[in-house]
Amino acid sequence: MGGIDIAVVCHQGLGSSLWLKIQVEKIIAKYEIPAYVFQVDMDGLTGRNPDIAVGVNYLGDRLEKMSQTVIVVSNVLDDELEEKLLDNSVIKGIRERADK
Amino acid sequence: MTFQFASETGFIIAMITFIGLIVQRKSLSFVLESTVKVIIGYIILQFGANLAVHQLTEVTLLLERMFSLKGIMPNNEMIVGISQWFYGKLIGSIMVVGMVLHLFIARFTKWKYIFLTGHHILYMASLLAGIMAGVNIPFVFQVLFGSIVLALTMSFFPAICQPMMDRIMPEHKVAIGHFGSVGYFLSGWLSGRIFGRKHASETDRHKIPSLNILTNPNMVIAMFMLLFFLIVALIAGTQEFSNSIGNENVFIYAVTYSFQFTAAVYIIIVGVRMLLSEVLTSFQGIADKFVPNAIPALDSPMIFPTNPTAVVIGFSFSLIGGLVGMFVLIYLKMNVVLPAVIAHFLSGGAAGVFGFYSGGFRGAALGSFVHGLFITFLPILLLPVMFQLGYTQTTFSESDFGIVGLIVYYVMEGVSWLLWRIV
Repeated sequence: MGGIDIAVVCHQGLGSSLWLKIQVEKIIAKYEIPAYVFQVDMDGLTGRNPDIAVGVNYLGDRLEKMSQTVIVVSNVLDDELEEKLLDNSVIKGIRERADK
Repeated sequence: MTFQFASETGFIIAMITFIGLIVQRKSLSFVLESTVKVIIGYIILQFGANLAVHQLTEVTLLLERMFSLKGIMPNNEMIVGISQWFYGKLIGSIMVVGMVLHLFIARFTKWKYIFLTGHHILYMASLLAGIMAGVNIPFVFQVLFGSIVLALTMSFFPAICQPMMDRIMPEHKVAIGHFGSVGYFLSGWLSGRIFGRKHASETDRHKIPSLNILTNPNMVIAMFMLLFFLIVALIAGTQEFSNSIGNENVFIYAVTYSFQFTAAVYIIIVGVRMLLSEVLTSFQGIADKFVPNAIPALDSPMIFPTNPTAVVIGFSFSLIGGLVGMFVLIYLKMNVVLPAVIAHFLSGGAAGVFGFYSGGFRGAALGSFVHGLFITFLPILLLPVMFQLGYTQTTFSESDFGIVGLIVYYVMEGVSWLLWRIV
């Protein structure tokens, strides 16, 4: 469908990542960004190589190596997530193409 | 083992997912994909449970043969996986009805919490099914009572932690939705009582400690199991150990079993994730429309960024509490509860944060130590309560499961005793 893959990551890929998934899905719906969002744990991320990986900062720097671009939020509740998503290079690219 | 999924949790949740996504007018391919994912997730969960039981038996048999100790290994994923064989239908029904009732509680009472930690809803439903199955009443009533209790726990436990949560994350309206709440409450309350809140403003002067290894549960479980086998070998003598496992090499045996054990738990987690992801997303979507001013109740790691040092203190002291508890049990020659490392991290860490915000770092240490003792002794009481499942030597690792299990069990005992008198 030409969308991008966004991985939402947490400790076990069960709890906090679900809330991240809900938030990310809301944002991509709001800005009509074609994307597929999936929940995953750190080990499950190996080999998946999503376009963007979103996680909370307590996961440490391990997240950095796992994906093309990484978004680390310090808090799952702030508007930080929306700003950082829109600021992401992959998202910017896809929105520019859509505008043309 | 048979897969009768037509009447079980997987099928019930698949149907709910299917209906939920159709109502939300998702594309047909997305609906089909998600529904198939749910059923496959459920089958994966069952495969994992099958493996896990094998590993678990190995551990408990070893303890019995070497030291004549009865070992209990609390692990949510395992007990939930095993429960599916016995009460799949009951678990799925309690879960779905309970979630609907929970929405009504949030809509019509002052408890506005929406409990979004899906795997804990599944675990609590499994616990309640395990208890209800032992009560001699018709299936419909088992579902009814079970789901009422489930809905209440999903609202009540976030509510008792809310005053403390407001101190931990004052700038957000958010609740904690994790069934370790009694432990957190205890930690926060004790620490506030003893040290007082004047220390709670201690700033986190230290560099944020690296949680890197701790954030990988596979690593933590594998290392813990390896250590466990090696300590057993050390105490019993390698020759003894080797004899009791059929003259295998002790080290190879230890490595093989600890890694297989970790893999089995991981398989169950993957299954649970596939089973619940879509359902919970729809659940939140419905709650958003149905409940004005809803407060999301989220998983415990959500509060970890507020004070990572308290998390590390919490994990360490909770684990120490678990070890102390274990040695006390060995000394008393009772059933021995092995520390549930993951629970000591996820719940112990949160207990540390609660302790910190009530009484500073000393409070975090004391609170989480007590929390560690608490989740070590509760499983002993809980084990006999779980109808039919007692022999598996595993049980729930977090505090609320123990508390709810015991209360519901004795209340239901009383109710059925009364019924027998009257009828």
